[in-house]
Amino acid sequence: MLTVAGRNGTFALGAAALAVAALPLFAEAYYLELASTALVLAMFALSLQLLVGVTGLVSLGHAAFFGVGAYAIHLLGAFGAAPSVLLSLPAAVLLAALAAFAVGALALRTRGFFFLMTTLAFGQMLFFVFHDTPLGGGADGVFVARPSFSLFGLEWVVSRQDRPTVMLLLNLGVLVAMYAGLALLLRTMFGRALLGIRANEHRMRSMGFDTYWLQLGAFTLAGALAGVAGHMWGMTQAFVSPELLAWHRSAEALLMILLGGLGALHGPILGAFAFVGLGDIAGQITERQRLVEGLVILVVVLGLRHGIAGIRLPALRRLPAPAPAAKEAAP
Amino acid sequence: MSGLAAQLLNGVQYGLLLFLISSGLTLIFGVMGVINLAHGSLFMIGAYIAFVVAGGTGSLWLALPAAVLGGLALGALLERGLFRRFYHREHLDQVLLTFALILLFEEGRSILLGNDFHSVPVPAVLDVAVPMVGDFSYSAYRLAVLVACLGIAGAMFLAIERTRIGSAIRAAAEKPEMVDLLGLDARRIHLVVFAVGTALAMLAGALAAPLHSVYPNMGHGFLIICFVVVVVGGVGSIAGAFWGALLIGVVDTLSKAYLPFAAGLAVYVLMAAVLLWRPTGLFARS
Amino acid sequence: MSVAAMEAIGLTRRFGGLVAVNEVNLALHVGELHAVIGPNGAGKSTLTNLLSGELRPSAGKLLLHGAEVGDWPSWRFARAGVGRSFQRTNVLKPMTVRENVRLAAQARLTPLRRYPAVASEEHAPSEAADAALERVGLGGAAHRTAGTLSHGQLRQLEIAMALAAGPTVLLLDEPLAGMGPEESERLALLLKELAADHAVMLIEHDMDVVFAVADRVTVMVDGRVLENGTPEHIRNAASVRDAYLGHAA
Repeated sequence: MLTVAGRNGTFALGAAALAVAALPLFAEAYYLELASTALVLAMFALSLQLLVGVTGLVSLGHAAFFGVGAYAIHLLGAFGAAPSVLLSLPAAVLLAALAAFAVGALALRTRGFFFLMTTLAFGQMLFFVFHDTPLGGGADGVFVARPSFSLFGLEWVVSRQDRPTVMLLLNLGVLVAMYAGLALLLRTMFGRALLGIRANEHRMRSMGFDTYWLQLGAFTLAGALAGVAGHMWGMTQAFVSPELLAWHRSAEALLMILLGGLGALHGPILGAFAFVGLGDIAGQITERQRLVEGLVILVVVLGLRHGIAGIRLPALRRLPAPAPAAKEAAP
Repeated sequence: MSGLAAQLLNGVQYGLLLFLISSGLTLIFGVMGVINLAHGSLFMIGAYIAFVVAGGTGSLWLALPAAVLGGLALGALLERGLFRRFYHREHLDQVLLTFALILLFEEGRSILLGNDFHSVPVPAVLDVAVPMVGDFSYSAYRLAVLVACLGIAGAMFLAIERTRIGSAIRAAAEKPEMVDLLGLDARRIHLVVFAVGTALAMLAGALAAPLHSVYPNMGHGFLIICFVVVVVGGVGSIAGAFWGALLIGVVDTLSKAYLPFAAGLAVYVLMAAVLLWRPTGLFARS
Repeated sequence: MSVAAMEAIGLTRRFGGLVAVNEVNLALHVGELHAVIGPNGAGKSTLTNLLSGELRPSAGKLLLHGAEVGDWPSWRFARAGVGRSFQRTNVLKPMTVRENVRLAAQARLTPLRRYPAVASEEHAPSEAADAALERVGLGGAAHRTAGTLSHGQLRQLEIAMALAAGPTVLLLDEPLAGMGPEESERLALLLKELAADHAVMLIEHDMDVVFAVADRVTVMVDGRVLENGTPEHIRNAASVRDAYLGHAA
């Protein structure tokens, strides 16, 4: 079952967050931007973990909500100058949540393999909406005005030099808030009920849980969080394109989850950093990054079954296992 | 009027092509419970085989058996080497395994043949218009593809209804636990289903090459449309895939011809309607 | 007698050509332990699944406190106070025993009270969960992972989960199967006790248990009700002896 890091784990994660926050003290802008990318993808993968690791739903259409969140900035641009982030972020969340609610309401009428196919197909439909209709601003993407830091006419103008640092810290803050929120959610009975659905959906229904609405709630919330991630992507890059909604991004988020560890809430964060790091290294060695990505996946699915969060030192693994249940009666 | 007739025929021909791809997809899922996202890449490989063989020998006729034989071999290899280990794994693992295969197939294609668009010429014999009714005439090659696909579909129904291995496959697709009960050789059934499914997808690619031309990632669009076919048609049945494919083929073609503003969206709206009305698919036995 | 807590009238369920449950009439009353017996394949488990909404009836009526409920989904049955256990153990294996029971307990709260609460805090569902665990004798195993329990303990957990939500109707499908004799006896006594303020339906193969605890017995054969009456009546009914008890003896 999915676990949340305990006291030591949380301490280690906090230390890692501080290390990321300290990057601007010594790293060049390139690495700050790379870290920002990893942070945004970590939000995205974390939002998908709510479906995969918590509720037990494997969706291949999650990138659509990421893209809708990013395009929210572009759509707001139609109303004039750069919107305040205090407006664009809630708008992104709302749009992504609405899209996820509509897709989820239909897709959750199916299960398993068919759920995968339906989410993928509806994700592709949203891809076409931004790819082919005037709504999206073109198949090749469009530059967007970065949401501003303004409130009641006061604006904090960020200089070009400061921007990588500011975006890094902002993205870090959003990721930490998202992680903390999900950790809290898992402690509520809503979170426990979702975990119960993953363990045994049929039993949850017969115990009196209307699992359809619980799953739809999780799907909508996960979509809204993906919208947050997409918004932060658009704000960091100042560019959005239909490719953000493409289904290979959903598959890559699943890869981050598996890479980091399916069994831990923080797994996708580790996975996202590993994914971005490996991608960067591969990009420096070869132009054929997809080859590297494909081979890495093969290694993970064939060998590294519990992800990075599941790696244990050999000495720890030899600790005595909990005593097995006494063999009393045979059926 | 002849315009509509041509679009209808186009839709039927496109739908039959979709049937070749989605029948393998649905059988592989029905029998082995495995999701093969790389099924669209197999279609792409078939199209590239047509491009290479037809370009090298000047004849598409050689490309068709090459695609079928290559498909049987590649399917058997994939089944024995990889998929066999994944039948009982979680969906997440299956998704990522087959996603990795997509990346590797596409990268292999890029290394061997580059990233350009290519057209594949229609065989000279069939590069004519066949007069139909009145002043309406229709491409001989499209007609040939239509007839060939119908023939293959007929052969598949016969094989499934009339042969031992066929009835074993049907039993396995409807109730996987039947395989053990009937004492059937599950390993052999899996191998046959996977190899045949792969060969059908690659044959579809080779047949489609002159119509859709040949380009990187061409399998993605077909894969997703085939998912729509399977969802609309219904769970794990060849007949469901057949009628679903025809319906989607016709709707997609007609909407692109007559409702350009809804272009790519019509089939998804149809899928949404089916999910609301009959979430198990239009042609599934309830 | 008052309105039955649950009543089946002509309840029928077909699977293709097979009629698994055929025009069954049955009434469960609070204060009564109603045993349903019959040979394997008589349709007892299908009946349980019909009464708990796992399956929809093909024909006939199903009344809960007098209201028609045949088209309800299973979760509404549980919320309306129908608790059940499964013949094949069906629990949330990766979770602790206490969490299994607590989820069952909270299922009957209204959504606003059910979901926002923090799980580790003490609140009403936890007390109900702990009480149910104590009652079935699993209090000591509360913090074990359900997947590690022995077969007998899993049966106890099933009953605790059915009890935790405070149901009025309890449908227990072979709850004692596979338990040791001591536990079995203890739980039989518990069932008797529960029948005082619940309508209990018990499916059970052990005739000694049935005749010891049941207030009323229904005998099913081939999907039909063969006989229905007090244990005394059933023990003496010639038709039952021929059709069923004869085989068992």
